[in-house]
Amino acid sequence: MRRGQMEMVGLVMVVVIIILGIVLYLAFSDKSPSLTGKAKDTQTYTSFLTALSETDVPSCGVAFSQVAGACLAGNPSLCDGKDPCVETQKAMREVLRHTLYRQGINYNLSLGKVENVSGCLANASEMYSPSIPVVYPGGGGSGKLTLSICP
Amino acid sequence: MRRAYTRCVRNARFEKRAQLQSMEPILIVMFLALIIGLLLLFSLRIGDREVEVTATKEASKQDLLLLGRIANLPELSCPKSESAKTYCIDMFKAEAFRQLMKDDDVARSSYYPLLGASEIAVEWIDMDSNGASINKSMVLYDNLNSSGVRPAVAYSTMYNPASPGAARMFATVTIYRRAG
Repeated sequence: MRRGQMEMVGLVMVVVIIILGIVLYLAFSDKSPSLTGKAKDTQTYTSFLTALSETDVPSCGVAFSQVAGACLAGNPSLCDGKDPCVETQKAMREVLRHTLYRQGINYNLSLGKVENVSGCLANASEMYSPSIPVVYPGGGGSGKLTLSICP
Repeated sequence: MRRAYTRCVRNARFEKRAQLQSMEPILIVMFLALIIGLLLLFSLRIGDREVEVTATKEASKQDLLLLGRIANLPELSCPKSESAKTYCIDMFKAEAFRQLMKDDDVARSSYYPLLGASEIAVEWIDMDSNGASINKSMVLYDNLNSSGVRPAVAYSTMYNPASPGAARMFATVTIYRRAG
């Protein structure tokens, strides 16, 4: 190999090393939440869903999970003739208004067709999306209560 | 005349080449310095990141431990019949505990080994049958004398034994601990 060619190879190697360095620098300067942080947040939002499902809905006198189940099953007898989906929506709205909305978190809490959205765009990717099962009254089926947290 | 000019041009070319050749080691040293600098920077960043990750892990573990302790405190927890999957705080017990921690310094210091230097606050949502709601809160324990605090949040339910219709309300337990 001629001396000129060797110099060119050396130069290319230096350029490759510098590019590699820049790529590594960008990778390590990434400020995205760590795996531990993600696990903790997922646990927090799962506890949010569990606490919500065990909260009593005053207009129906039973737990949210039962009202939500009646909403999914289309059973109007649980809340003295009131639409369980409307009561589910009201309870979800009030809890979210005092918690995630006040903290400035973008969310989408959904139970079938009942949805409460704040700041989550339709095509946005979710950071966390925990869900818990909601069983129909009498155990005839189940749905899912999902909380999506958006960036 | 012509010969002298040719010699002059040749000498100039030779000088330019010599200058470039003398610059080569300087350029190589500069590149090496740049590479070594970048490597040092990476190693420092990796070290910082490892420390940060360890600190976050440790803090998360401490937060979870404290939340677990609060949930299992008989002074706060709901009756067995009312405890389900989540943490459940008895409102009457919480009020009595808050009063004790506020009035009795000896009692507060006796809880220090268990709850440490922290502030524990609970907020709950009192909904009525029309769908309206009020946010209520109380500080259960305050033994934190620090300006830089880090909150940890957990969700639970607040049980009101005097309200048979809507006994369990949505609650947020926030633990403030010293940051860093």
